[in-house]
Order: sequence, then structure tokens, then C-alpha cells
Amino acid sequence: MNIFIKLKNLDRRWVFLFVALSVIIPLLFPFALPVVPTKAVANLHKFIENAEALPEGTRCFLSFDFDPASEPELKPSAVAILVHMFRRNLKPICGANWPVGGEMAEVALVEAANAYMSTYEDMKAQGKLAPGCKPIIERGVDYVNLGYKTGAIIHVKALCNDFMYPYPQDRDGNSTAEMAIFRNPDGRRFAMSDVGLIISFTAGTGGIETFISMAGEHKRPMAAGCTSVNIPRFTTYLQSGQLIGMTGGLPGAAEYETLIERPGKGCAGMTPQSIAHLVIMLFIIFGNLAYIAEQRNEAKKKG
Amino acid sequence: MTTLLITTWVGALITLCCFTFLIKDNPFYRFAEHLFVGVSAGYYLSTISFHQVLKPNLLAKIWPTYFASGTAAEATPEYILIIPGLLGLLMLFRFSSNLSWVSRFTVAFVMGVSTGIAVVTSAEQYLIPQVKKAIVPLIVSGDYFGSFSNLVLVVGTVSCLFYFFFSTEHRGPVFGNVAKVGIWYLMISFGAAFGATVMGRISLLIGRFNFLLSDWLHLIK
Amino acid sequence: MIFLKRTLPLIITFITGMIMIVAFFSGEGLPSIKSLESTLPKWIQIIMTFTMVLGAFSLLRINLQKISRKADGWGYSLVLIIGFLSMAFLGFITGSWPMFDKPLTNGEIYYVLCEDNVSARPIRVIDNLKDKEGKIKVEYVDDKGEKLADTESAMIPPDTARTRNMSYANSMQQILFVGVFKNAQSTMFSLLAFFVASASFRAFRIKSKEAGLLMGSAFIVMLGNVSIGSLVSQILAYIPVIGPYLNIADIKEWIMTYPSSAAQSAILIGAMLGYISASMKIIFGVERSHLGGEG
Repeated sequence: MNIFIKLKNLDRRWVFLFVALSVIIPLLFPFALPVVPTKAVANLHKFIENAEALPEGTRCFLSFDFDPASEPELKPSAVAILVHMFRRNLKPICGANWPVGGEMAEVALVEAANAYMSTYEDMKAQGKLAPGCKPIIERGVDYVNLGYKTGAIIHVKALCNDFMYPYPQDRDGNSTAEMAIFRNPDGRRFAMSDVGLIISFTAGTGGIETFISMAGEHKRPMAAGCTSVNIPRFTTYLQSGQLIGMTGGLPGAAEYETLIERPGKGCAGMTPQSIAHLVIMLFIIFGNLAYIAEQRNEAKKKG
Repeated sequence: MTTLLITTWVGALITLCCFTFLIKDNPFYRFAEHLFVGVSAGYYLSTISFHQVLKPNLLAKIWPTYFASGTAAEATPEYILIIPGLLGLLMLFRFSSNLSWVSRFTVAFVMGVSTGIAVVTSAEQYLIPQVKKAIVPLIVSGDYFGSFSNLVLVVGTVSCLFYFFFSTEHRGPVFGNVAKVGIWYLMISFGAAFGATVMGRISLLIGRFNFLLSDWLHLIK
Repeated sequence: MIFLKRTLPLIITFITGMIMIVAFFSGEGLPSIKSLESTLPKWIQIIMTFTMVLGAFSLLRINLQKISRKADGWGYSLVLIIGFLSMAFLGFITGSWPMFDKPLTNGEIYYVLCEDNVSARPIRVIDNLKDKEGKIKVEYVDDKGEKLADTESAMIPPDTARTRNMSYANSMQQILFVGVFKNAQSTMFSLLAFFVASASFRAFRIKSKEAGLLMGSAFIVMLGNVSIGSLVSQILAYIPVIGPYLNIADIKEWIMTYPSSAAQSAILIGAMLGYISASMKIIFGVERSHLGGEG
């Protein structure tokens, strides 16, 4: 037991090194681990897949409410969901409640659009695309990035009142009035009621909770992609029925990638994630064994 | 291609500078930290504040001919937006020690609108649905496990609410014991939160090493 | 003066707060209040942008003071200012390009963003007249202006083409944004993984039953969230009688859905009650800390 007491006084930089190696080695020498989708992720996938809930051509609002710090967790889910939407011929309209969210949306859109277009022929041959899917998708017609607007809940309220007013231009300065993606067949001005689904990729405050707060006004189905830290809190919204589905952190991204049969960064991250979790659990166990050993030594000294 | 190469190398250098903090605080880390703060503030000011918000939502609506694009350039100017523009400029009086009170009008306006929205939406979308969620049948016919789970949910919600009532001491056979049960539930929840937090932090680290090993060193695909 | 400095702001808070609350309940019965309810949020969005401007100038002021006083670490403040001014300048000019939109000239070389969204590649404009989709015809060239072999002409939106100088400015901005900003922010947050591990090793001690519950729940969630949890479940399945029920992922789901969710609900209910009471205190002027100190 004395070895645990010696381990307790280990310099923390050795702990850092173990953690680093527990991530680097599985990345360099990967091996596949099974990924089983959970109910929350499966529900979201099912909703997007459902042609009755979201017919082809439905516009969906995706809010990128995270910054580069949370990109490793949220970008893989965002890309997977965008690819799925493109394959279902749905039209994502991207916005952001976080300042750098517009840039996060741009990166995810470019990656998803390239992934969709490069696999178009294969997917079409396998019959996995919606009938109306095109080989080339275009900005302003099939997707758009509207960028960031201030206000969080105030901004969502403004969207519920008049969707186009806060967005006279997209993120690149192009006028939204002329964009085909906002045109309605009856010539009506695009409104929140035309959005089929709201998804927020949330790293903290100002994300999906702003849309939940305004649910009484927009009455649109909502889903979330959240960081792992927020999973316990957002599970309550799932249970209360305010969210129809959710991808939680990198494992959630891996599950969605498995469902759309396109393994990406999510699936690749599962192996180092598993090993790192085991290492941290071992650290906790060793730390407690050291504590028990110390207590026993002290009891022996007293007795 | 050259820009991508330079960007990757700059990114790798900045990443390694930040990682040196794990050894101890040092000039490389502090250089990276200060450069990051400066670049982010410059980005927030120019690209975010001006180009994504002020220009389209204020300037393009007051002077559409100069700042708007497409058909929006022919729209009628909305001069009423000069009022929020002026209110926003009043915020800059914070820099003056004698006249900083002028910014209070803007703060008061923002706080009034925000708290007014918060009062109604919190009750409608948080308080009521969460209470409704806890009202579930304790006996589900034919499903013993479902009944047990619902009982756990109801007991948990009530006991945790008992715990959070600090106006009276957590003593006595009823209050004391129910609050103790609440603590157990909170510990389970905090354990789950801790597990989720560890997962989140490790995911961020995986992202960093992915960048270094894949994008920079090309050791992995 | 007291009226102007303290009382008037409280009146403004009260009036605007009550407008938002009354508008929620009035529906279409009070159209003037309803129209204010839709106007005020639009104004707030513009006002809140100035707070970012305030923050940026405040940062500049503090660091310039540090440099002028040659305070400890003033060299780092200089790095901050240089980063700030470079990014602000590049951001202003690259974002202003659509305002100076000129028709592209036939035969001239311009630059468009590559698929990686960072680098730019040269193109030559063949026909600058827009087709019915608003695009122009271009061909891809190399850095010397020679047409690239095995590439066909393409139709692109004209506003995606940049002049050489603007393309350089874009590239520099990408180097600072992607290279410095994104990587620095990501790395600083990823450092937390190391500190979580170190804290777990040094400070996470099971000194009571409650701490044991916390650790047990943490272990189940950590295992259940990752793929290795299913391998552990397969091993546990060999235990007689209870083995088949020990699916870590299912147990984790149950913990998240029932006991953890119950506690989170209670926390949320308590927080919302506090949020509502704090909001009412601000609206009625009982709470005045948001107005700042004396003066």
C-alpha cells in the first residue's frame, strides 16, 4: 500500500503526460469500437428522416451557438446533421447567437456541402437520397449563412416577430431579399412559421434555451446539439418534451454519424475518448487507495 | 495552398505555446495569450460588431443607398433607428468619470426590456414545464420498472426542492430526512455532471491533438 | 440632478419592463403596446452591439496606459495592441469589399476562395455579363496566368471574386483568425482536460457515503457514454442472475433520465423562481446595482 502513498505525491506533470499519451496513442494506432445510438439521437435522426414531418424543400433554422473552444465537440454533430439534411433535400438556414458562431457555421457548411457533393453519385446509386436532391448545391438557394446577431433571447423574439428584419444581408453582405431560399410559393414574406425545425448547437447560455424561452411564440419543433457539460441539464428538456432530440458531445456526434453511415471525427474520437476515461478512472481509484493507505498508517501510529 | 500551410504552422506554434503552460507559466504562453486577446478583440470589433450587426441592422436601414445591397438599397430609410443608435453611443460615456451616469439610461432601457421578457418566458417555458414533468403516474399498470422509475423521479424532484428551501433548518423527522434524500439525488446528479464534464474536456483535447497529428504533422488521416 | 441620475433610469426600467409584460398578456387587444413589443427588441440588438465596442476600446485604453507607464509586462501589452490593430484593420477592409463592388473586367485575373475556405486560387474572367442565375463565366489559371490544363470553365457568382490585394488581405485575416484566434481559444480550453485529471487524482476523495454516490454515478456515466462501456457490459453479462441487466449504457441512460433529471429539474425550478423574483425587483426599482455606484 505504501506505493500508493508514494504515487499520491507524484508531480502533476507526470499526470499530464499520462493523459496526453492516453489520447495520442489511440489516435496514432486506432482500433474500431462499436457505437450504439441512444434514444435522444435516434429520435432526432428519425424526425429529420420523416418525410411527413419535414417534406423536401423545408427550410430548417440551425443556430451555431458555440465558439472555437467547443468546436471539437459540436462541429462533428453539425456536419453530420447538415449532410443528412442535404441528403433529404432540406434547406438549412444558419444563424448564430454567439459572436463567432457565424464562422463556425461557415466551416461546417463548407465541409458538409463538399461531403454531400463528393458522395452524391454513390448515395444516389444506393437510393439513399431524397428524389429532389441535386448534384450541386448553392449558397442562397439550398443553404445560407446569415451570421451573428446580438441579443440572444431578444434576437429570437425579433425573429418571431419578423424573421427577415434582423437579416437584410447574409454574413458576406449579400442581400437576402433576392435569395431563392427565402421565397415562398405564395409570395408571402418568409416567417418563423415557415421553419420546419430549429436546431441549436449550444455550448452554454444563449443557445437552445433562448429558443425554448420563445417556444410559445414560434411553436416550432426544436432539437439541440450540446456539449457534454450541458447534457444533464438538457436531458430535462428532452423529458419535458420541449426538445424532440439531442446529440450530446462527441459521443452524440459519433452516434449520428453511425446513423447516417458516414463515420467522421465523432467516430474517430471514440477510441481515445474511451481510453482517456479509463485512465482518469484509474487516477481516481489510485488516489483513493492512497488516501485509504494513509488513513491506515495514521490509525496504526495512533494505535 | 500557401495560406493554408502558413495558417496551419501558425496554429501549431500557438497551440504548442499554450501547452507550455502545463510545465509552468512562461513568456511563450503569455505571448500567445496576449496575442489571442488582441486578435479576438479586433475581430469582435470589426467583423462581428460592425460588419455583421451595425452595418446591416443600423447603417443599411438609415442610409440604404450607401450601405445596403440588392433591392434593399432602394428601401425607404428608417430614421427612427437613430434613437437606438444614440442610446448605444451613450454607452461610451462610461469612459468619462464625470459623465458616466449618462450611460445609465441605456442600461436601464436594456435591463427593463430584458427583465420584462425574462419574467414571462421563465414562467411559461421553464417553471411550468418542469413542474409538469414531475407530475407523472406513480403506478403504471403492467410496468413495475416504469412505476419505480416514476416514483424515483417524483421523490427526487420533491426532496431536492425540500433541500433548496433554506428558510428553515433541515432538521426533524420529516424535513430533515427528506432533505437528506434530496442530497443523495443531488450527489447522483453532480456525479453525472462530473462524468459529463470529464467527457467534454477530453473531447476538446482530442480535437487539439487531432489538429497537431493530422493537419500539421500528417501522421494520421 | 438626482432625478436625472437615479430616478429617471428607474422609471425607464419600470416602463419598458411593464410594456413587455403587459404585451405578453394583452395579445391583439392593445395594438400600440404590441407594436412596441416588436420594436423594442430590434432596438436592443443595435444597442447591445455598442457594448462590444465599449469592451474593445476599454481593453485598448488599459493596455495603452500600461505601455505608456512602462508597467510590468508592458511588452505583452504591445503584442496585444499590435494584434488588435492588425485584426481590426483587416476586418474592416475585407468586410467592406461588397460596398465597393465594381463590375469585373474581362481578361483580368481575380481570386476566389478554395474548398478549404482559407486559401485563394486565381481565375480569369471570360464573360463578365451575368447569366439568368446571376453568375459569370471564368476559367481557372495558375499563378502566372496560364490556363490550368484539365480544367473546364466555371460559372461563379461575381461577388465571390476578389482583386489580388483584397485576396491578400483575406489571407492575412484567415491566418490571424484561424491560425491565432481559433487555435489559441481551443487550446486554452483543452488545457482543462489535464487539470481535471490532476484534480481527480489529488482531490477526489470518497470520505462519505454521499461522495461514494457521486463517484459511482460519475464512473457509470463516464463508462456508459463511450464505446468501451459496451465491452464492459459484455464482460459483466457473465455474472450469474443479474449479469444480463448490467448494461452500463442502459444504466447510464436511466440515471440521466430519472434521478439526475429530477435533481436538475429542482435546480431549474429554484433558479427560475430566483430569476423571476430578481427580474421583478429590477423592474420595480428595488434592485439598483445594475445602475452602478454613486454619481
